[in-house]
Amino acid sequence: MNRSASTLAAAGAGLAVAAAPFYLDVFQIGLVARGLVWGLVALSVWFLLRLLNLPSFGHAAFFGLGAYAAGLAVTRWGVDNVFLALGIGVGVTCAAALPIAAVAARLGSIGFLLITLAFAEMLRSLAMRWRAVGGSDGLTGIARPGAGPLPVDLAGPVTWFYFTLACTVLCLLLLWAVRRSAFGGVLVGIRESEERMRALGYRVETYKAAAVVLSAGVAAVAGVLHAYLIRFASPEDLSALVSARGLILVVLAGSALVPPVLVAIALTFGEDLVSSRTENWLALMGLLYVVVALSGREKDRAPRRIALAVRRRLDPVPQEKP
Amino acid sequence: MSKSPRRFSVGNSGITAVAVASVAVLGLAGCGGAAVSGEDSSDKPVKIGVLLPYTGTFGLYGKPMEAALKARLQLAQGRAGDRAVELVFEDEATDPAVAVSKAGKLLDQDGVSAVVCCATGAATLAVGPILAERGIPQLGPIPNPDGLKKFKTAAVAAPTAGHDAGKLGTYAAEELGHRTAVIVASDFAYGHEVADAFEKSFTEAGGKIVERVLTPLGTADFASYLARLPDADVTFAGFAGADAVRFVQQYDKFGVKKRMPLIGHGPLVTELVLKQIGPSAVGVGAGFYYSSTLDNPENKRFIDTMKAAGGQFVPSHFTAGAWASGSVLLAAVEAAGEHATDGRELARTIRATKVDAPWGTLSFNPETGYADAPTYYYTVVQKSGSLQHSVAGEMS
Amino acid sequence: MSLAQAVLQLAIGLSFGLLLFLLASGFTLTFGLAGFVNLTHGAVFLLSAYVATAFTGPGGYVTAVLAAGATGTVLSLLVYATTRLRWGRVLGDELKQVLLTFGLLLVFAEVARVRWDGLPRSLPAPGFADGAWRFADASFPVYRAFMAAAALALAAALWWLQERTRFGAMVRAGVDDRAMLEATGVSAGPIFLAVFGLSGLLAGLAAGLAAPVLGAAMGQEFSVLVLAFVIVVLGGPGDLRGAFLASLAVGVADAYGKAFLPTVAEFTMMALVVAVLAWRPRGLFGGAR
Repeated sequence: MNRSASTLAAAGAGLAVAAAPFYLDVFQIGLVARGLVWGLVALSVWFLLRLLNLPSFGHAAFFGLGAYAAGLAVTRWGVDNVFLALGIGVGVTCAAALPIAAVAARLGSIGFLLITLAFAEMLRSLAMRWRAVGGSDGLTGIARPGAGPLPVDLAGPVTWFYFTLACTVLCLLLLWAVRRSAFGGVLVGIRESEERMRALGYRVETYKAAAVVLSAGVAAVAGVLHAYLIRFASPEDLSALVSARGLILVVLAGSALVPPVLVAIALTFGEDLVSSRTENWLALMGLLYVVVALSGREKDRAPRRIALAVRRRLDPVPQEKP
Repeated sequence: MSKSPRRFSVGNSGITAVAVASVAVLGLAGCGGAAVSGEDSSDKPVKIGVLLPYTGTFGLYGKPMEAALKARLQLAQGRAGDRAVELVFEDEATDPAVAVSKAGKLLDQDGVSAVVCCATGAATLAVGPILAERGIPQLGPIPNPDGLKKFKTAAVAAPTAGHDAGKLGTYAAEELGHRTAVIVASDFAYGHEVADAFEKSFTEAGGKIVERVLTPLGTADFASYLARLPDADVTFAGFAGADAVRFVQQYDKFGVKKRMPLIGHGPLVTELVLKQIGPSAVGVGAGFYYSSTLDNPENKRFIDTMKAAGGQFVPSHFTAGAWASGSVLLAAVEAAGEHATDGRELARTIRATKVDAPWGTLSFNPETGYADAPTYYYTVVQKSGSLQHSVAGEMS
Repeated sequence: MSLAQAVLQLAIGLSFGLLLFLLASGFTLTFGLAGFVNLTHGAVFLLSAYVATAFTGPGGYVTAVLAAGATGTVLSLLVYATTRLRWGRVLGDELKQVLLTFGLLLVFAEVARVRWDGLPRSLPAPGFADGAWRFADASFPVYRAFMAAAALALAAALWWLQERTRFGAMVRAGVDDRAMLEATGVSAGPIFLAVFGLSGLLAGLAAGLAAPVLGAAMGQEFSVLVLAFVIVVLGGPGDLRGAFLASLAVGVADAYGKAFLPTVAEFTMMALVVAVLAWRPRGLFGGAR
């Protein structure tokens, strides 16, 4: 498929999403908002995976931290401004992500997968038993804060939908700009050859750690939006299923920037439809994942280095490298 | 290998996504149309939403509870007075976020007049404010956390877990004659609630808590905890599900049961886990509002109806609670008459309802919305080859 | 802490650790040899455990353990067969592996849930290993000792297979350098097949042996997977010796942690992983690669 066609398709899909309140009912608007939140989670995973080849199995940690921070901001710290709450959510999460980022920056992809999982599981067990934040019963009483200088009331489903959409678009633009920036170029360089970048004088660990923190920040935005969407935060927000979903959305969506968001919306709708019709919906989703994993061309560029390395080992005759 | 000229690849999924999304949206929009709730004409059925976990950690409760609600409705020929009643079931997947989303679907697409929810604490509390704002009654089918009492439209067809555990604390000190106790409980909301309640009433009745141990939810191996439990007159345990099975078994295997008797809140030895625990459960005592061996006409009717419906039916407080919730709703819809689709009116009626439940008379505390129910003390006995409860009596 | 307590906790930790080795050894082998992230490992354990609990009759114990082993083998080969449909594509791409095996995990877990209604189940301990030994003021269940002995025997058999047979030599060579192995004219396909089968067999036997202690319950598909992850991280991928030592270390640390720091026991295990990864990214004991 050529480039202009996919741009056109993405633009059309974006328009369809933006116009959702005009042809969907209240419940479905909520579903699209939920899909957008998952899209943000996918974007944050996408960033690390595509630019640095770091697969995260623990973005639930950042998502959940954002959600809890947003909840605590409203219920305990008396915050009544959504921008301030977003700042708190992102700030707290990035601060917590720093040590993890510092450690993770020294690891290869599998090590990264495992350490992020371990970190998220640790936070989940902490949230389960920490009574001050509600324990397993979750954090209740979260109300959507005011919109600050903006003259809108976020309590309504349509305004909240547009707020979520705006946040998503901003994060998309941010990640797009970062990828285009010199910083993004260095990250891609690190992905292709860490040694070469180090030889060129780049502080590889610092760049990697910064990328992890940035990704955590985007996941935190998703967490904040989610907490205010359902007005609840619980240890489920920190569960491995959230991380798995983030990773799976990216694998489903491929390598471009916008598709993860659209796939997230489609999957949210699909899951809702199927789960209302059969209680075995999880098995059907599982089969879908299997089919997607087995289908498709090998166009996916992300794990190219690993794929090349393995293929080199599998091929008895050495290939000419591009 | 596919030979078709255009294969969908992973890289092209953006387009796939758009296609899937549009189909999904069209499909849903089609379904949505039917959900407009009608005027108060009595030939329209009153729709009741039911949110239960069918998947996830607590997935085991969904299907049996659905069966009990359906059986109760069928017993009334699907009618409450002259109104037809229709149930809409949704899966909350043991995830509060899904529960909230599905509650939205029940309200906005299906136009339900009341929601039975939920079997997990977090989902119950997450859905609570959503329903309360819309003035739609929420009926909890099992002992739900006590955070629901701030919603005037909510009611729970069971006493809180803390209520029953508190009764057991007094009973253990005064009737069973224990002076000291060790508490072992799951380290999550349910475990905290029963441990706190037991400790409070046991101490108030003159007993002393020697030690309190909280173990992570889903602990695979209790051996290390058990091997160093201090001596006391009795152990109080707050576990449910797979944790209960493993704890009671290992409590026996490590020889602690010979040293001090084991008592706990109902779920520790509920009928759902009793057979799996096996002979290790014999002699364990429990305080709870329901047991399948309770001798009353409504319990008999409940168990007989469910057994007649076929399948492998194991009576428990989950199914009994679902059954009683059905009874409450049928009675309330009938009493509310033409106001049955007015949420706030129906909520008031529910709290004023008094029905026969499998554990005795069920009425609601007008202040909190939680059920006033008797609490029984029973022990596990082996009788004609199978394990069952032997009810000693009601705890005052 | 009395000496009896210390010994008792050590015994508890070691018996649990040996069990951990069984359930993690297959995971670490597929991971080390094929670079294959097999998320279904926990679900294979779950289904095998449920199958074991179906044999509760008298004398059913041996059947139960064998049936669990067979279930594990079949399921693991099923994962292999599915992967084989697009071998080259899935093998070189760990993301496809995650997607594929996560999908199969959901399917396996759903099968278990539908077949056994999601209820927790257990298997009675066999007559010959029922009861408990008493020493000092504590007692230790006979079955735990039997379970530990059986796991140790299996570990020994695995060691023999790995170190003393041609098959083992090929697997070790494959873990170290697959290209070299294939250059010597050995086809990797049959070895992968055998390693997947072996991995499932070990997970199944672990599930069967553990059934009288841990039982079968929904949620194990994830909790077992996390434990296997922890052990691979600590022991180094593909390193059986490392996995063995890591399993024992985790088992003992878990036992003492629960006994003397009960409120933070779960937290400390994960903290340990983070610390070890930070300190020695290739595993506590060096690691194979």
